[in-house]
Parts: sequence; C-alpha cells; structure tokens
Amino acid sequence: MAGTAAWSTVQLAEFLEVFEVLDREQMEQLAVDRIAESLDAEVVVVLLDGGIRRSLGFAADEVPERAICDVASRRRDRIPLEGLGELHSLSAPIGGRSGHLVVLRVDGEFDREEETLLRSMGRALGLALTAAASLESSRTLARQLGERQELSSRLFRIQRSISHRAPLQQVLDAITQGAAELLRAEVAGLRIAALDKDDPPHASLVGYSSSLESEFAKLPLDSGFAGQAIALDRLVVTDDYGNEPNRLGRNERYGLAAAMAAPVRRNGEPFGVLNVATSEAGRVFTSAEQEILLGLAEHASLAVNDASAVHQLRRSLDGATHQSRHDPLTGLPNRVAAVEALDRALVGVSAESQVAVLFIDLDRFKPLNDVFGHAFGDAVLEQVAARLCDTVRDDDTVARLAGDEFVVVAPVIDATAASELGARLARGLSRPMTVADRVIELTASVGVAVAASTCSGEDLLSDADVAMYRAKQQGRSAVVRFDRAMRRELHQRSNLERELAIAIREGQIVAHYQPVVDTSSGEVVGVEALARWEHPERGLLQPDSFIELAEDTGQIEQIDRLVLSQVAAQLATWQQHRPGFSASINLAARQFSDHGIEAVVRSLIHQHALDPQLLWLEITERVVMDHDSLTLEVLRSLQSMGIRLMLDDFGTGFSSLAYLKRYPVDAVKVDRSFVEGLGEHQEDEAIVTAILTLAEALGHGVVAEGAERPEQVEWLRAKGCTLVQGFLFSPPVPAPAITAMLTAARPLLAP
Amino acid sequence: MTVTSQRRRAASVGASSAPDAAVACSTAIRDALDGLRASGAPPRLLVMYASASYDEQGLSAGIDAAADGVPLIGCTTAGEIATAGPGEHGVVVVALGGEGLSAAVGLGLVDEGGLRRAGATAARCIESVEPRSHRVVLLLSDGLSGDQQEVVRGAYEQVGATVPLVGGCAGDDLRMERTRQFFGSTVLEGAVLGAAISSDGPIGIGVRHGWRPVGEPMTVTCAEGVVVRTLDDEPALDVYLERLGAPPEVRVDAEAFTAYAATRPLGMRRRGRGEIRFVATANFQERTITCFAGVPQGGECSIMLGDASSVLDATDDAVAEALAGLNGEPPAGVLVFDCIARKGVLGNGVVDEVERIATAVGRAPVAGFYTYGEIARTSGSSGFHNQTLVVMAVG
Repeated sequence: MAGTAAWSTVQLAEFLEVFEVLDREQMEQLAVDRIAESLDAEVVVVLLDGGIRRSLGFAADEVPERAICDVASRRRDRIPLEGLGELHSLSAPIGGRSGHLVVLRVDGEFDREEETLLRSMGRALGLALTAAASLESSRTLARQLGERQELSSRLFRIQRSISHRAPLQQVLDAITQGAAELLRAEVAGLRIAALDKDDPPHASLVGYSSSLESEFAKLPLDSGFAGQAIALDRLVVTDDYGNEPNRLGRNERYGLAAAMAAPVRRNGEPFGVLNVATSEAGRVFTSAEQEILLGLAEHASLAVNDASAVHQLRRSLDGATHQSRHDPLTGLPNRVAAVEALDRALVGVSAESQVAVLFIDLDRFKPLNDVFGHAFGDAVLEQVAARLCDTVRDDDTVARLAGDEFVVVAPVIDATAASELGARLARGLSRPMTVADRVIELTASVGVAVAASTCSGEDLLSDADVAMYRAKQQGRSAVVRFDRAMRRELHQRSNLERELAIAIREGQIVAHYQPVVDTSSGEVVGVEALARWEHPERGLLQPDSFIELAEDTGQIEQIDRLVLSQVAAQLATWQQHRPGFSASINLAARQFSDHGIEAVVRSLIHQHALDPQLLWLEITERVVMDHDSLTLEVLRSLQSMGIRLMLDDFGTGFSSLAYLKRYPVDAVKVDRSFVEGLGEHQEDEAIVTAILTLAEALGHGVVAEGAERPEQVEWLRAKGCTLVQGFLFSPPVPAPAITAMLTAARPLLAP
Repeated sequence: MTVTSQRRRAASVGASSAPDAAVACSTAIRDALDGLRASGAPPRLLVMYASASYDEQGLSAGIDAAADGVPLIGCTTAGEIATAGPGEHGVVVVALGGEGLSAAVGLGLVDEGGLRRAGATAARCIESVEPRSHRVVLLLSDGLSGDQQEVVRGAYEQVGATVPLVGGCAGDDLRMERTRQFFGSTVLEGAVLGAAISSDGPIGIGVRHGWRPVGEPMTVTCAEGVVVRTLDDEPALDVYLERLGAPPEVRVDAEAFTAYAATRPLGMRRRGRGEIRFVATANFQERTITCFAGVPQGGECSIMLGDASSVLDATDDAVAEALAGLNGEPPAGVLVFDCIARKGVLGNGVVDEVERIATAVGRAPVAGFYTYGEIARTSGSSGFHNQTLVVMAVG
C-alpha cells in the first residue's frame, strides 16, 4: 500500500494508544500486542524489575527466561525456537524503569529503523507506565489524567507532524515548544547537525534572545553543558547550573538554576541535542520529567531519521524528486515546487518588474464531489488545470496546492495587471465544462497578492490566500486584491501572542500598585499589585488587552510569576520604610492547581526575607468554585507558610456562605460593582451590608475596591469597613510613586 | 464424495443440500466418514459448515445421528464450498483422519471472560493433542461477537509461535444478525471453537487478499476498538462515502451500506504488507463506521477496491503458497476460508474460483465456507484477516 509517511512514524503513532489505557496490565498487554504487530515479530517480552512481566509468543510455561535476559543485556543476539530455527532479536530499555523490551522474529534481521522504533516504544511505554503508576497512587486522579493526556496529545501532535511530513523545522519547533511547556522551562533548545553538505544545521530555540540565538549557531554542537549530552551520548541533568564546569558564560544573564539535555540520534549515532533549562530557584527535574525529555528527544530522532530518508530519496531518485514536487493528478507543480518558483521569481523583483501570486479556489467544489463522486471531481480538477494553463503566459507558473486550490505565479508590471490576470483566469474557468458527459458550470474565488520588493514566497502566498478568503466572504466568484488590513485582522491575535512572549522575556510586563488606604487614619497601609504591559510601541497596556489571551495560551503562569517576584522584591523595600505594609496580588486560578506555586512563594519569601503575613494572594471565586482537593491542599499549604489569602470579586459569581466558611480565606474583597452603587442603590447597599456582616462573623478582614466618591467611603466607614482602594485615592501607579507616599512625613491620601 | 489417502493421512468431503436440516447434515457427515473409512483411515475430526437458513435443532439432530462419536466442530456460513464447487443453503463436512494424524477439540465462550480468553480457552486443546511433528490449531468463531483479532491474540498467547493458527468466522448469509457454532451437537452463539491437529506430514498455509488501495492514504485520527470515528480529522463515515462517491441509498440505508461496504474495505499499513479491514456497519447519526477488527488510532489506512481479476490472482497465489508448504507432495485435503466480500466481487465467478482451487490441488478433497473474517497466523503475531482467502493444505 502506498504511503506518504515513514513506516516507523505510523507505527509509533499507533503505539501511543498505550497512553489512553488506564490500567497498567492492559497497558502492558496493549504494548506487547502493538510491538509484535508493528515489527511483525513472533515474540515480545517485557522484562521489568528483574523478571518477566509479560510475554507473547511462547506457549505457557515455556519462556526461556535466561536466554531472554541475555538478549536484553546483549550477551546474545539469537534464540532458537523449535521448528522455527534461530530467531533474530532486538531489545530496548523501558524508559525510566529497570527493564527491557525484547523482540524476536523468524523472518529477517531487524534494521536501524526498527531499532529506533523499538527504542521509542520503550521510552513511550516507560512514560506511560510511570504515569499509570503515579495515577494509581495519586489522590488527584482527575488532574493527573489531564496532564497525562496533555503529554499524550502533545506527542500525538508531534507524531502527526512527522507522519504528515511537515517541514523538519516545523517538527523541531513543535518538539521544543512541547519541551518548554510540558517541563515548565523558560528556555528550550533543539540543535541538530546538517543532514548533508547542502543542508544547513537546524536549530529551534524557545526563550533565548535573538543575539544569543545567532551566537549559538556558530558554536559546535558538543559545546556547553547541553553539548555533554552529545559527547557522552546520554541524558545529562543538573540542578546547580551556575557551578557546572561546562556551562556557557553567555547563559549567565538568564540566571539558570536547573538544566538537562538529551541526545538526538540519527541512525543510532548522536546527531544533535534537546535541552531545557529554568531559572526557577530550587527546581530539580524529576525522573518523570527526565523521561519526558528523553521521549521528546526520541521523537526528534525519528523526525531527523525521517527527514534524512527523504533527503536521500530526493538525491538518488530523479523520479522520486519529480513526484515529491508534482501533483500526481494534474501533473502540475505542487506546493513545494510552487513556493520554490515563487522564491525564484522574487529574486529579481522591483517596482518595474513585480511578481503576482493568484490564489484560486473553486466555489462549491465539495458538493460537486459529493454528488458525482471523487472520480468525477478528479476529472473536473484536471480540466481546471488545463484551463488555467491555457489562460496564462509561458512565463507564468500554474500549480496545484491541495484539493481544489490552485495558484498562479506571474511576473506583472503592476497590481492592476495582476487583478486583470485574476479576472481572466476566473472568466476562463466560468465557461461551461463537459466532464463525463455532463455539462457543469464552475466559478472560482481568486485572491491576488503582488510584491514590488523582496519578500518571502510563503508570505506572499499566504497574503493571496487571505485575499482569496475575502473573495469568498464577498459572495464567491470574485477577484480580490490583498491589502494589509485583511492580514492585520487575521494576524493581530497571533502577533499579540508572539509579542507577549517577547514582553515576558524582555521584562515589558511590570507591576503597578494601587494603594489601599485605612480611611480611619488616611494612611496607606498596603497596595494591590496589577500587571501592566509596557509595550515598546503601544505604550502602557491594561490587563484587559492581554490577560485573556495569556489565559488562553498559558502565558498567564509566566506573567503571574514575573509579577509575583517583582512584588516580593518591592515589598521587601517598603517594609523597611513602613513595617506592617502589605501587598496583594491576584493570581490566575490555574496557579493553585499544582504545588509549583508553593515552591515559588517559599523561595521568594526566603530570598527577600519577607514577613509572609504581609503578602496577600487574591484568589477569585473561580478558584473556589472549580476546587478539587489539591487546590484546597495548595491553599492550606500557602496559609501554613503564613501567606494570607483574600477572596476577590466576592458576590459576583456563585459564592455562597458555605464557601466562605469552608475555604481557607483570611479576608474578602468587596467588588467594585457593588461599591459603585453605595449611597445610590439600596440593593447594592444591602449586598455590601451582608458581605460585611458575614465577614465579621467569620473573623475575616474586608477591603473595598473601586471607591470613586467620598460618600462611598463614608458609607463604608459607617459600616466599619475602613480599608478601601480606588481612583478616589489613587490609580495604580509604578513602584517609585508608592515609595514616595511611604517616605512622605504625613498621610498623603485622604478622601 | 471425494477421498484421498496417502502416507497414513486422509481427508474426505461430504455435501448435501437436502431441504431438511437433519437429513442434509447427517447425509453430509455420513458421506464424509464413509469416504474416509473406505480408504482404511480412522476418522479423527469432523468439521462442518452449514447454511444459516437451516433449522439449528435439525442440524443438531443430524450430528447426533451421524457423527458416530468423532469430535466435531462447525459453524453456520454465508455459503459453503466443496470439491464440486460453491453452494448455498447446504451442508459441507470434511472428515480428517488416518494413523498419522490426531486431533483434539476445545471450546471458549465470549461471555466467559471476553474474546481474548475465549480464544485462549479454545486453543488450549493444543495441550491434549497427541504430539506429532507438525501442528496447527483450527479456529471457528462468531464473527459478530466483537473484535476477532482479540480471539487470535488469545489463541496465540496460548499456543505460541511454533503452532500456526487458521480458520474463519461463522456467517449468516450476510444478514449480520446471529451466527451459530456447533461443538459436537451442541448449538452455540458467541463461541470460539478450536481443533488442534497434529500430523506426521507437513501442513501448508497460504494467505492472499487481492485488493488495491484507491486515493491517498489517510490518518486514523480517532478510533475506539472497532469503531472508526474520524479519518484525517473528518467524520469517518463522510470521508468513506465521499471518497467513494457512494450512491444516495448507501448514505442513508444501513443494509445498502453494508452491502456496498462489503466490497470496499479499509487497508491498514503494516510492515511489508497491507492488512484488510472489513467495513461492517455505519452509524448515520454519529457519522462513524464499524469494522470487523480493531483499527488502531494514529495509523494510516486507505480505502481498497478489488475486481474479479485481482481477486482470482490472489486465489492462485494463496493456493500456491499453501502447496509450497508441502514440499512437493500432493495434499491429502484442502480447507479454505474465503471472505464473503470476495464472493461479492466475483459474483458467479466463484464457480471459477473453486474450480481453480480444485485443479491446482490436483482434485484433492476441498472444503470450506464463505466467512465473516479469516484467521491465518503463520508468522508474526497477528493473524486475523478480512476480505482474504486462507488455504490450508494437509500433506
């Protein structure tokens, strides 16, 4: 059966099903079945903890344990089986466990690809077994399951990108990104040697500055701490990066604390390295995390081996090269060839000699295909290809990208000429077509993008694609020229995401502070810290323009931790000026769903010699609502460190008395939406009265936020609530402004 | 009735299409046994294939009346095959025996611990068969009872790599409602029957399908066991129907779908060979398709098509492969397990197919049936097939 993906990639993708199984025995059974079927092997044995855990292919009680162990330890490579002769053997360690997979086969020796595959399977099985074991022993089953599925789905996505032959760089990027996220590391890097002399070495780096990226490109692969993984051909791990003899001086500015690196292999030989590092104080990479890195490195090996195979194929077979660059149905160049043609055309581009890309998508092709079948659809596509070729000039290139998407690359004198060509192509296609004795009428939507100066072919193609979509939106059968506003809309969000990543890395996220005033004395007694983005072009951005995105992308964790460490450092200074001065910070709900936050807080308190009682963490109702036993555990543990917890937004969600009673909360914040109506709306007043009464009964402190008018403060004071923040006193301001208030001789803020 | 006997191993086939179940059954069994005894070979095993249209109590009575204490396993079919040619609504029985051949039978029930355990229990008969130089376990199972690969896995776990597995899944003339298995005269449903055969002579096994992929391969993006949910992230049923340009009735009618899908299986990519998956039913609400054996998520598959010529080529190749296992000696008897879907492609060409087999095996007795899934494990560990022809030649 013809296939597009490397065989071993498909097999490994199937094997990842072991992650879907919850029960350890079933998992082992599934693994054994899959391995046997993938490698067409008669015998598969799982050796774990010095014994045979599971075997397939021997009749009951006939397992030659000694011989199997000898194969695992590579003391022998053949095992005889009655009537079948000497079986070929292959073994691989089970990741993170003291164990091996042993496979025996009658027909044919195992090759390198199979060896790599079995090693990847061993690694994956180890990960799955470890996850299953921790699952069994864990009280927080639901969360663990979520994590495991995240790992599984991440590996599955990477697998798919390999099996779909995504460009190597893209696969490597997915792996690095996965490593950074799964292992909670600020920096991750994947560097591999050049596949051959015509190919540059590849690197994928997350979290490094661009200057460092280019420096790295010049360094030999086996230099630095990570390079040890290549030199030694094994995993290297440190939790004391600063004292690593091999560390790179250039990395010092990152203040890296813990790091690890795993070799990436081609045909079994070290060929590159995957590394992660974090500046998180006290962080130690667990053995489970080490296994994840090794698993990801195996995936990188697989991608490299796959890419190498493609490379070789391209070099050695002209026919194969043609196939890889041409659409088999129409014989037209495919996407790869189209982009190459485009890049070539763009070399000589100028205002006088521009290049147009016309993205052509047939309207309502799918129903045609549905009604008359694929063979019919294919015949239509062949005719469309012919029509397009008839319409263009000799210098133009017609290519088929996928399905009913075609592209024309044409040198043009200006944008008007490009649009005219687009209209000609659309007219050409709209003439009735006879296919299999049927007359059909087609229309097409055409997107046009024109380059008058150098740019990348992929970018121009994507501009034309954006314009084509606009044409579809305009009711099809239209020719639309790209303009930048279209892309802006589409790409604003992804730009923002990228910019936010830079902002996090380059310290553009800063804490601003809103004073909390004791209205009985007029004194500033504390602050609430709020994240602000000092955008280099757009100025100071409020949380509402980036927090939602950060929540979606998971960047919120990094933002929270950045702000938290700024607040801790600042609070230490302020406490010198004014003992008893407190700061609160609002953290995202997800921070409380694992123990990581405890370590962060503990190390900050220690580092800055803070009185923990003066650091308040604000939790939203959401944290309380979506609680599980782990959240409760995390909150209690923070409290036992002396940290105070304040319930934010109380009353706006689904809070009930029960929550306030059950949860480890020291104070309640009255939401601005209620404060707003004080002195005006009886309903709001009734709610605030209830909150205050309740808080008092439970012994909780209360802070009111959003005070804008003196009568609100008066109302609150009359009810005994004296801690207030709001624009009436001060908007959130940078740290120096707070310092100025604290060092002033008398209370600065009075209503 | 046809008989051969040499080297102390013999086979004989009896067939009847009498309208009465008991008459047809007892006639076929007696003919098979008589043939064997006529050559002086003691009978060791009876394997019976009976039309699902017969009354099962009648068949049971027929077995009681004629089997004469010889171990018997059997099942209902989607058509029977005998030396004289293919048939429908009849009974075909093959008797195996001779001084150089032994047999033992086993039974596993899916209800008692699942498919895998049923496969293992049925195959446990390997432990009680007299030891001889060549062994095989014949399996007959209820193809409508779930993922039959599990049955093969269970049997393989039991017997190990040194014993090949062959067999097929019972049918019910494509009604896809219920099939029956016969263990002696006991009528069962959801059963796996095993017959361990040991022989002084070689046993050759051939396996071929004869399908070719159409279109680009797809990724199985979501599958649970035998249910395929998405292909290339699109609902599997829609992808399947669209790729094939299926006619309107197939898109809404369950029966029409099954009939259409019978000749359009899925091909899974495997090391060095493709594996075929019979597409059995569609769920029009959930837009999923259900196969006769598991389809692993993450793997690649293609839709397969066949025509009469590719299917017949596969027949020739499977027979040649089975005979090659006999080291040049003529076979004493030949058992075939032929997928009902191949019959669908061949139509009346099935007469030609059986004739080809009979000629190729030198007119040795031939018995078999049209199956809902075929079993042949000769190398590797997997051995459940769909839309395939399995030929076992007893040397």
